[in-house]
Amino acid sequence: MAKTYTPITRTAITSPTASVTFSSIPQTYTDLVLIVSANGSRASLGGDIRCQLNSDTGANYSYTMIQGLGSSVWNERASSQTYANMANNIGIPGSVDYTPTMMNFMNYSNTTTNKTILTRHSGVVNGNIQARITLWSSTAAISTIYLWNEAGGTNNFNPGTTFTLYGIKAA
Amino acid sequence: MAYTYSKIATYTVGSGGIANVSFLNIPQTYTDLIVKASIRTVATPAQIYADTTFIINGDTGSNYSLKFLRGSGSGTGSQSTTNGTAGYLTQLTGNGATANTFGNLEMYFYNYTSGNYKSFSADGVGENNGTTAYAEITGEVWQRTDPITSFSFNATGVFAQYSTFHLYGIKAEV
Repeated sequence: MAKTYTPITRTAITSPTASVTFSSIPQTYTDLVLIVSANGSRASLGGDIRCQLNSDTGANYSYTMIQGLGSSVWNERASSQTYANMANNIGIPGSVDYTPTMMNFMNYSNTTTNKTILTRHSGVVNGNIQARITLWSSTAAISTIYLWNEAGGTNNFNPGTTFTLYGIKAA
Repeated sequence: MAYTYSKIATYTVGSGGIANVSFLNIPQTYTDLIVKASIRTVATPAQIYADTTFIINGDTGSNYSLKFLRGSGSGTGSQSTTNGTAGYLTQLTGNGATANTFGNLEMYFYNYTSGNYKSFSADGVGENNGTTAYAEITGEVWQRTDPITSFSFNATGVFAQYSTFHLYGIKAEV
């Protein structure tokens, strides 16, 4: 019996690292799930997780986001961005708070439709909880995912941060 | 071939209901944990929606913080709790709601054996055939560095018969 849910690769950060790249992603699955547990080097507000796909730096990323701040609700829309912002306010340095983020890349290997990503992020201690939908306006199959930590300048992911990429096979 | 997504345990509430459901001696061999639950509670007086709380490793100290985002059909809201004495789950369906209707919940625990604070997220709905029904997304942190070895879910009143709790392990063994 074929496995439906398969780990493709896992990266555990052991020294401060600015970015992580998943390349040569197998095209044999239906969907991808990326699980991130992150702590960053930016003090006070934490950093953001940003993303580009297939090294595309064009203005091809859009998102709609709703977030709970604990006392109010906020929603936001941005289009024609040169990157996708996947999460705000990850864990701050000096803490053992590692914020969880789950990204679902839907039907990532097809070459007919633009790609959508559903993301859930929980920055409880320092930030907010978020649900967002991201559009990458490209019909290319996703073969590379590039993630970095940037907000108010370039930041690092701190040791203990983990990234796990799973493939979901609907077969 | 090892399976990535494996069921660890299931509990189905029997006749008469039960106030607490616990998973004990959780194996430490997975990367993440998932709980999926279908819950209805029975309380006196009857409530349409009722809180369900939970504790980890028997810890009732002030170590639970959370934020949630809620939609009810007529509005949105967000609340936070800092240093609470229990984790909180969605306003799930109570015995004042439409008969035979259960609330649903999924919780995802990240790196539950690590030496960091334990973060988890929950998506839930307290359904009812009425003008209001709650959908919530919740983020929580258990501010302890111990590995998670047990959960206990606590009802307002009791969990009704046929409520179910499933615990799964996710193994990132590449």
